[in-house]
Amino acid sequence: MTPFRVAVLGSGAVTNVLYRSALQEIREEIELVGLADLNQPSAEQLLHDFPSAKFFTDYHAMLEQLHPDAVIVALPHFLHRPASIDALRMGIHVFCEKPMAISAAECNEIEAAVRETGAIFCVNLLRRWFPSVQEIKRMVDARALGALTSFEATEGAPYGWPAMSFSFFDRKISGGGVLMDSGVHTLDLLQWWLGPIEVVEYLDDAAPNGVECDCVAELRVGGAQGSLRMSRSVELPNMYQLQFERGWIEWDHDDATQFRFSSDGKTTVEATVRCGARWASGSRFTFALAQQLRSFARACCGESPAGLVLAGEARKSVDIITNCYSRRKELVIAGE
Amino acid sequence: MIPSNNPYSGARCDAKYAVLGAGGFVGAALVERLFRAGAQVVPMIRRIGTGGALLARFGLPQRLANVLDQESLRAAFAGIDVVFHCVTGDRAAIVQGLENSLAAAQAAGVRRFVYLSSAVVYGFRPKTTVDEVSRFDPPSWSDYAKNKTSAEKIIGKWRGGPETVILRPSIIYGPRSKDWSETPARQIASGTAYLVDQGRGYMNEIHIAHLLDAMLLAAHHPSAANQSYVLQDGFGRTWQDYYRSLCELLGVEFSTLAAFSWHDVARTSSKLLHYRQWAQDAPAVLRSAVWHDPLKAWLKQAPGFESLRRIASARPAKTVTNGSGRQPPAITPDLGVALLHTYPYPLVDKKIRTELGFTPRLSLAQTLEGLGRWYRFMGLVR
Repeated sequence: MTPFRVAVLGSGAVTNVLYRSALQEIREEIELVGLADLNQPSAEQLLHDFPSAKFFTDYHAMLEQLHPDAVIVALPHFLHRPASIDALRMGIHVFCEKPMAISAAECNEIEAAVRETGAIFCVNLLRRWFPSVQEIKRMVDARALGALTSFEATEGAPYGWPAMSFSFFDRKISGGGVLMDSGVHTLDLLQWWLGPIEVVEYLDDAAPNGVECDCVAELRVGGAQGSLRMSRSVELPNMYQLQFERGWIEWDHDDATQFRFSSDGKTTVEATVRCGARWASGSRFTFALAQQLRSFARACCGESPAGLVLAGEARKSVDIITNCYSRRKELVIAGE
Repeated sequence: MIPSNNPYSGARCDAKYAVLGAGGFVGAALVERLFRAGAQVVPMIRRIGTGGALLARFGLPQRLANVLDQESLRAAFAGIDVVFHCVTGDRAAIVQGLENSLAAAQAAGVRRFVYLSSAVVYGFRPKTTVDEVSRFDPPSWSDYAKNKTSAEKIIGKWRGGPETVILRPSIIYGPRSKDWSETPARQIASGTAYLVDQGRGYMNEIHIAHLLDAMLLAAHHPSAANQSYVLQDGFGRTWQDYYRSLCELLGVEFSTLAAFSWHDVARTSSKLLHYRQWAQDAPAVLRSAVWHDPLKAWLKQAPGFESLRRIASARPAKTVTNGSGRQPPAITPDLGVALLHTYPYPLVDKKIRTELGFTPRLSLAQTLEGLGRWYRFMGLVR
C-alpha cells in the first residue's frame, strides 16, 4: 500500500511539541515528505526524526515540487487562511492547526475554497476526541439530566507555551490573545455540547493594538446563561460546570477520561470512561492528534470523515470569537 | 492616578524609559503605568513567558535583553533617559547583571538609573527601627538577601553616571503579586494558611500602585539623585491584620487559620534541620565559623531562641481541622515566613516622604477592593 504523503507547513512550537510525536506514532501509515519554514534551525528536530523529508523555506515551492496528498498547516494564525487556500486550490487536502482562521470572514473564504475543490479540510480541535468529552456529549444530547439551565467555563494559567517568537503576542499575526488561542478550544467544546452560543457581553484587557491576556464573556445558550473566564496571567479553576434541571456535570479541562456528575443535585458520581490507558497518560494530546491524523488520512482516501472537525463545524468557535471582539469592552482586573 | 500636586510624580511624555525585568510583577505593572500615561517605554524581558503575555496587551515592541550581555544592553539603552532595573534571578543576574546594566547605561548616556532593591538587605532581626542609614545585615542562609546586598554595594561605589536611586521596599502586594497576594489567598482558601506567633510582626507592606508612584518620583525628582529610600504604605498593618482582611475578602473565618509558635517552627523548619545537619557534619573549625556567621545573630535574637538551640527532631507536620470532613492538609511552617510574621519594627520611611513628597494615595479599603476584584476573577471569591 502506498503511504499517505504529508507535508508540514511551519516548524514552530506546536510542530515540535505535538506533531513531531504524533507523526512518529503513525509513520507506518503517513509519510512525512516535506517541511517548510523560514527558520531552518527550528526544523532540525523534525528533519532529524524524518530524514527523508525535504526542507523548504518557501511552502509554495514545496507544494509544487512534492505535491503531497495533504498538508498540515501549523503556521502563525494569520497564515492559516492563505496557506490552506493555496493548498486546497492545488487539490491538496488540509489538516489545519486551530484556530481555523482569525476571523469569520476568513473562514468564509476557506469554506468557499473547500466547496470549490471538494478537498478535505479539517481543524485540530483535539479535545473532542477525549473519551470523557464524548461521554459528556452523549449525556447532554440524551438530555439525561434535563434541560440546560446555566454553565461556566474557566481556563487559565501563567503563560507557559514554549513560543519561539513574539508572534502569539502580535495581533496582526495571532488575530487575538488568550481567547483566540485557548478560547477557541473552550468555545468549540461548549458549542459542541450545548448548541449555538449567543454572546451577551465580552470584556478583555487589551489596548487597541495589543492582545488580551485575560478576558471574561457572558454567554447564552437558549434560555441558559453562562460565563467564560480565560487568563494567561494566573491560574484559574480550569473547570467546566454545566447545570441542568435535574443535576449537573463538571469536567476538569484536559482530563481525557474522567468527569463528575450528579443526577439528583445531591450525590456526586466520579465517572471514569472505559478506554485505553493512553488516554489517562501524559501523552493523551499526542495520542488524540495521532488519532485525528489517522482518520484524516483515511477520509482523504475516501473513508468517512466521522469525528473530524470539518470547516463548517470548526468555524463556529471563530464566529463566536469574532463576535466577542466586535463588541469588546474594557476589563479591569488588576489595574489601578 | 498620581497625586497632581507633586510635579515629579508622573510619567513624562518627553522622556524615554527602559524597564529591565519588564516580565516580572513590578516591571510589567510599571510598563502598564507608563503606557497608560502615554510615555515612551521599552519593555525588556529575558524570555517569552507570562510577563510577555501581560505586556502584549499594549502592543508595544518587546525586546529580549539579557543583563549578562552588556553589549546587547548598550544597544538597547540607546536614546533612553531613565532605566528602571527590576531584574531578579540568581546571583549572576542580580550582581553581575546590575554591574553590566550600569555600565551599559553609562555608555549610552542614560540620565537616571532606578534600582529596585529590597529591605531584605537589613535582615530579619533588626535591633531597632530600620531606616536608610541602618546597617546591612543579610542572613547567611538567604542568597537573595546576600545578592541584593552585594548589588547595593556596587551602586554605592559607582561613579561617573548615570544618577542612581535605590528603592528598598519590603512586601510588595496587590493584584498580580504572586508571593504576597495570590499565594496567601490560595492558602487561606485551601486551608493551608498559617500565622506564626499570631502574625504580630509588622508587615511593612507597600501596594504596587504606591511603589510605582515612588519609582516615578525616583526617576524625576532632583533630590533623589544618588539617594536610597525605604518605603511602605504606612498603614501600620501586622501580618495578622493582613490575613484577617484576606479572610474577609475570601469569606473564610479567620479563627480557622492554623497557628504556630516559634517552638513549632524550630521543630519542623527544613532550613534549621539543614543547618543542624551541616553543623553536625562539618569539621569543628567550620562549625566555629558558622557560629560567627550572621546566622548566629538572628538565632540569638529570635523569639524562642532557647528552643532553637535545642532543635528537636522533626515531628510530623501540623494538621488543621477544616470542618469539611476531608483529611486536613498538612502544614509545615517555613522559617522565612516565621521571621516575617514576627518582624519587630515598622520601616521608617520619613526620608522619601519629606525629600520626595511620597504619599500613598490609596486607602486601605481601596487596596482591598482591588484585591477582591482580582480574587473574583481567579474564582477564589464567588
